Amino acid sequence: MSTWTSCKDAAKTVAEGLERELPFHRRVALKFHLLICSACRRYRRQVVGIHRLVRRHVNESSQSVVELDLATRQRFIEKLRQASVTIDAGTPAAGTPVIPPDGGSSHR
Amino acid sequence: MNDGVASIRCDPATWVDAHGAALLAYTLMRVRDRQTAEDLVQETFLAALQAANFRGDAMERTWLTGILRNKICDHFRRLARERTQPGGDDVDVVVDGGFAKVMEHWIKEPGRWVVDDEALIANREFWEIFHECLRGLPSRQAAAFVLRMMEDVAAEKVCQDLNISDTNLWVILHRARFRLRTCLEQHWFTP
Ligand SMILES: [Zn+2]
Repeated sequence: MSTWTSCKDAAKTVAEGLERELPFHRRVALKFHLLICSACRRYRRQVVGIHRLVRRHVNESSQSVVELDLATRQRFIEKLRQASVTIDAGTPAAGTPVIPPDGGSSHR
Repeated sequence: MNDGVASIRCDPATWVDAHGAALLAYTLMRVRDRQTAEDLVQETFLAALQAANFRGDAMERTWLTGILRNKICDHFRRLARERTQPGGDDVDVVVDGGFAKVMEHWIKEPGRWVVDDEALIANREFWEIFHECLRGLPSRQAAAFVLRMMEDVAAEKVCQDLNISDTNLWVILHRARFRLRTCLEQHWFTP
């Protein structure tokens, strides 16, 4: 392989480098290309920047909380109530719940 | 049945109030469609209710999030299977069309902007646009990007799930990153 790399190749190499350790000749080819191409230098900085930002976003947003509006809350609770009645009536099967024979007496 | 299970059965409201908002927030970070997000959280609660090993302790949130993650991954696997690209994975008009036929130079060079982490990380409008861009990706690209980048699923696993080779995965992720960058440039960085 020659050391000449097109911008199209360079863009692909930049992305692939975020996924795995690149073979030596590709790293060198990319380095050479970036030395002479400011467009691809910007591309790399931006793509790597977005990559880093998304990783941070995912980690930090696990602590964030959205407002649970009353209607949604009610829907969740309703479904869970229905389901727990079904389960209490004695249907251990995780797949399709069976209609309870007497509406699940013990808990309600 | 242990006490933990019984107490939840008695009052699902406690459970929803304790975890509903957090789980929904988690899901909305990955799935921008509100209805889908609610459905996934709902399914998570139901699956949790049916699981026999529920403990009802401080690990509850972690455990629920684990179930939710599986649901989200299933969702993207389904998407990737259902909606395959017309013309297959051979070409991506946006990515391949971004370079000149001869010499393969940029047709439109990347603009002069930088990613400022501190300014963007808590910027709601920016993430709105990001998710808008994510939603605009072809479904396989979106699936690969979310599973690999956001859910941190191992590459081999993503390949299995989407039924592709690792070389294919690199190409798909490259296209996803290319399109996301272009979309963010157009709608956020240099509108
Ligand atoms: Zn270049």
